Amino acid sequence: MLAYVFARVLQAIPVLVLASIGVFLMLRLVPGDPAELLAGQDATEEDVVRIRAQLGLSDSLPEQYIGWLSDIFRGDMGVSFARGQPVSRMLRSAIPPTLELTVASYVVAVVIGIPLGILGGIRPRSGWDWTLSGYTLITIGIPGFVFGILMLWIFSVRLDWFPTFGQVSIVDDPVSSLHHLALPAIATGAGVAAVLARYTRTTIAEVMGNDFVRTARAKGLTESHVVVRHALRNSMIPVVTVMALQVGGLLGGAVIVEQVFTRPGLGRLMVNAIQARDYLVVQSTLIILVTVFIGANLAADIAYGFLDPRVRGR
Amino acid sequence: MSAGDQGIELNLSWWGRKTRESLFFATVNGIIHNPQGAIAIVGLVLLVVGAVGAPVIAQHDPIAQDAAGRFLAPSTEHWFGTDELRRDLFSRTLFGLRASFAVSIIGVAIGTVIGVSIGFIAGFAGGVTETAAMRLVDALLAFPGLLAALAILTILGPGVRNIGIAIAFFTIPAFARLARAQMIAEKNKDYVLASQALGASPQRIIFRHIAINAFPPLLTQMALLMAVAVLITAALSFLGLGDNPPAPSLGGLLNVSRQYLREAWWYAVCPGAVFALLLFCLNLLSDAINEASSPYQRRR
Repeated sequence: MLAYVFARVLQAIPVLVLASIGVFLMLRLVPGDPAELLAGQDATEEDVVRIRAQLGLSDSLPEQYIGWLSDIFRGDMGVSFARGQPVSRMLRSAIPPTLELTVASYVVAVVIGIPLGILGGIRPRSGWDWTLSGYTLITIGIPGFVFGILMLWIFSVRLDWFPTFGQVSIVDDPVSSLHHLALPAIATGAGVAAVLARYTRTTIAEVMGNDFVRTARAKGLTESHVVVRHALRNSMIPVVTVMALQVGGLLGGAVIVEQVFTRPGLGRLMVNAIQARDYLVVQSTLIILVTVFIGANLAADIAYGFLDPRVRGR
Repeated sequence: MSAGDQGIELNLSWWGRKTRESLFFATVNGIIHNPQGAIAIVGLVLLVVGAVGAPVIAQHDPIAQDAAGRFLAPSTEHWFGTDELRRDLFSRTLFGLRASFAVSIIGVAIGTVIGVSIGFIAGFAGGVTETAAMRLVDALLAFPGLLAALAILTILGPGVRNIGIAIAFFTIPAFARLARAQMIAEKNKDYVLASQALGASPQRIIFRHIAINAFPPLLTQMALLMAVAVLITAALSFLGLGDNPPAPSLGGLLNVSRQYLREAWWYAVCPGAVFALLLFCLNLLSDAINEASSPYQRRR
């Protein structure tokens, strides 16, 4: 098992390196002098000179890349010209809200998706199965941010049940925080729930046709015991993988849904930075998101190995 | 997006059974006679007519601020009501739809051509060329669609044209992978060996013979990527990264509507419904193409 985990981690490293080179080159690909771009339009000549020295633009590209990477590891991501703050501090305040939203939407996705998939899968063509099909169709047509606007209109504006904007830290005030979080989390999680539900349905339906399920029934086990102890265990393997792979989708969704509910977070940080051409901020946000995404894929692989001993041998 | 797992299916089963013409018609027939396909085609025809015919169909200028008032509710005069600047929302939705179509089609088409070329060449050449090309594609895939688009908009700056380029970029890896798989499946078949024996050049074999046989699965993928492209285009303009105001876009309309939910629900709901119909039809269509072109994929 350890060897398997090790091999997977080794495989993820080149992808991470390539992706980070991509993010690094991004700034170099922008037409113009990187130092002047980073300094912003109102910068003085000294600013540009200082930034040029900081970036080490006279070094070769590989040296610049290594320097950039080691700066990031030390937590030094430079200073945003648009806001005059260290990028690391801006990230520190933007990450928690996005993390809250991502975790909450994950919970929504699992709580809706897995039971719906199980119910649809153990009884194909039943009412639950049709509910599942209908739900999937709706989420295909109505993406998270549109769904968010609809909910905002109905539940916040019309019924006044939820606040229309803002975010409260879960540490400071858990109740108010969840109150602010509910609609954005449902908007982000609903689509992912459909993906999880479809996968769960397919694998459960497949497993239910196996001989061991018939044997379990034949020896007189109750139906719930058969489903939970026998079918579910065997069908969770692909589902866990899909759950991990959906992290990327959730992050992307969260970035947009934040905008619907005017929540602070990585989404707003990045959108403002792109509009202000604040490259350093975009670069740092991207490298974090891409690392999380690659890490989630790695976690999916490793989870797969844990759950299915046959995979490890390969 | 959600039918993606089916889109990769290789539909090699049907090319050898009949002549190509009857095969093509069989597929089209299959799409039309599939209820999903029929709904998708009717819906898409309506939307395309609306988008292409926008200048004729729309009775108001999408930019002119000439309605009788702000936030007029939907009526026979203004089907989708009016917005905060006394503009007709039906016209703005149609022109926004038109812009969405244009950006998505151009982006996907460019991405398809480049992606398929990379995939075909990699699959045909094999060896180092293949490894190098595919690792590059893997690195592109490491960025989820939206992040890649955001990175490209950062480099090139916000704007409609750059959204098209971003769409082309994330279209490339999907097609490169699929085309390579198709090429590898086809290149050792007898008809390829036969034309090699006849002395045909690699270009001729790739484009004249293999490409034609590898086409149907690529078509399914195209319908699916159109749905993704439309979604990303709208998401980016929703984030305020694609608009050239006062020109309308579907995402831009939704973004502004958010501030006026109290005054005008139709501002969000009408463009949102058109957008939902578009996504819905594109996904149904890709399912229908997939089903019609593969006898193994019958509905369970």
